[in-house]
Amino acid sequence: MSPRRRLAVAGLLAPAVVLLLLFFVIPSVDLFRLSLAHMDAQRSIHHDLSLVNYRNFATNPYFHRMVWGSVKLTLAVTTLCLLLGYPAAYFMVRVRSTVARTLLYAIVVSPLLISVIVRSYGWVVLLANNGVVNGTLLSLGLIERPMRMLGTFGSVIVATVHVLLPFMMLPIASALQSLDTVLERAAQSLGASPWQTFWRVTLPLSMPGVVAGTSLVIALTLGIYITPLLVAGPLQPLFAIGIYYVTLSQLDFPLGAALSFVLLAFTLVVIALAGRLLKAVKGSVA
Amino acid sequence: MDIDVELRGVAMAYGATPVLHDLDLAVHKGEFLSLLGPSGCGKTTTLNIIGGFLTPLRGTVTLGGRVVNDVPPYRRNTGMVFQSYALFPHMNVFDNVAFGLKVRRVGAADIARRVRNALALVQLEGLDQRAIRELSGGQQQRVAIARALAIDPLVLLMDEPLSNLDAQLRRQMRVELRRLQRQVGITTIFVTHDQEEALTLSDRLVVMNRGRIEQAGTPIELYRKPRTPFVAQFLGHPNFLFGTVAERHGSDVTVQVGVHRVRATYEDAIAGGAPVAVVLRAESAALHRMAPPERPNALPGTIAYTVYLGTSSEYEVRLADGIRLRVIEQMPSGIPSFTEGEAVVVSWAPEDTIVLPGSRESMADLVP
Repeated sequence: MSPRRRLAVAGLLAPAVVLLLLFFVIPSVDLFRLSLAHMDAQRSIHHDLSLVNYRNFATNPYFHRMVWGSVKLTLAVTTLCLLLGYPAAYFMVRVRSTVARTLLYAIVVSPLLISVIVRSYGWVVLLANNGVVNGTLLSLGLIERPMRMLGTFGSVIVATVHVLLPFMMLPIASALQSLDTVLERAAQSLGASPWQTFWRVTLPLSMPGVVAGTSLVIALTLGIYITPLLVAGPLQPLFAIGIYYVTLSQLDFPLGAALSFVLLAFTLVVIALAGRLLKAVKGSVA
Repeated sequence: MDIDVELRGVAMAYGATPVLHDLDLAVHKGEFLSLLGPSGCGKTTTLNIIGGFLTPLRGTVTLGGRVVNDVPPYRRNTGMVFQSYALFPHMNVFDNVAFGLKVRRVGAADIARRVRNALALVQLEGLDQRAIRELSGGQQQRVAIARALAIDPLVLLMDEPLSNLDAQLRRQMRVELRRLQRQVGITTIFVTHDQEEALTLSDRLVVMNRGRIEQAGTPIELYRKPRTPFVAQFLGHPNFLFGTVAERHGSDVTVQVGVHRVRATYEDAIAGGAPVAVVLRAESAALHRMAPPERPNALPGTIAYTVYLGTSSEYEVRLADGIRLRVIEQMPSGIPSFTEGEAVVVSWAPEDTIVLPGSRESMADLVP
């Protein structure tokens, strides 16, 4: 690289690097140092490089229940987002009419333009004991008294799927968009039924979108707290709600910081495993 | 002769735009048939109707004696080769060629044998583990052909398969395609807009224009005896001389073209005074420095410009009354015989002309 070119590269990278350094790397290092501090019974913080918070996480069954809750939620939400999102994305990309396609994209993207709090409150309105769903079922005579939906694990799954579905659909749609449909016609001319064509050609070639969407949804589900907090309250055993509770109610910042790093590491591991799994699926298909 | 593919009264439209008008076409077993025409003439639509990717508005499609109008593409057993090759990028050469056999649940040993045979046919032995992106364009083309042949299809459908190759490779593949088709004996329908490709490859070629068949026949028939102005204009490098029939003795016709009297041959009946176009191919005319004594057609003019093409030269000769004639001279030596501004005589044999009834106005959209 010539000195001029090197200067140009440095100039192009500098703003992003400075921004990340100031607002991500430095605070993260700071937060990690905080996670090695500990709070005593008098609620004063000692910066003494102890692993007491991490040990607390490792030995406290309350946190284990929390991790298990997050794993269950992530499994359910990711699976549902995939099953709902893939066909919808496929239809969105393949629909002939441009009007319909634009409309569908607008519908998929529009939730992202609305605050997650507003969207989550929408579910409260729908699922409350005197909410829209119970009201409808009651007036149709399908149930005799309101079902408890708000506060259940099911309500957390439904609301989270709703919030995160676009993050699954958009990468898949983009992967399907770039797939040349002549490949599908080639498969059919060689005798592959529509189903075989999907399994052997369309799905493997849209896998990059599936991996991207799945990784996004996993990362966001493991870290989600506003939506479950609003539909199910602060006692729902979920990792991120636990961090929220420890930090903002107990004001144990060092423990909150330590839990954050455990969640970060956990998320990275889960995404790596999911990537492996999807690649194995792809390999067995093609 | 057995007929492998037959279209009867096939009509097609995209929305309100008609693209095929009641097409009739029969392709014989083992025949190499080209559909030739400009873009938008309906040739690719016809191919897609045979492959089952488009459903015609009317008419019947028969493959191997079976009406297949309601049969989906994957049950038609037609091998298709696409312009972009459409190889599966996530599979290697072997898996691409094996694809059609795998979806048919052929046994593994059989698959290995048939893939090997198909790759040998296109001379790609030993490349079966290569990734598609590691292949050259010509090799990809061969894989696409091997993949279509591996399923042992009833008919091979090819949609401009050579148009993505560079000129030299295209000529080479042309020869090879012909050899391959003869060797396998497979019925082939080949779509192209390249007249040279169609002429060299085909047993029979079908010239299409605006959703209709203009003329079908052997390459020699179509080149020597085009029946419509469109076909005459589409094959070779024709000059159109418009005039009226002045005299006729048997098949010898004399046509008055402006001040010139041009001798030509015409088998069918035509009335004196009828407007006609005399089509003279640039390849059929010869140039001389002095009028040749024995030639009935000899028109003097000057060379307006020359285009040097190595093995041939193209001249535009301007006659005194402004008529321009294109003449192509074959040059084994590679040296052109004439230069710009030189006075020459253009001559040709009456039997090398084509006479088409019709006025200049009726062919205005074909002849500039």
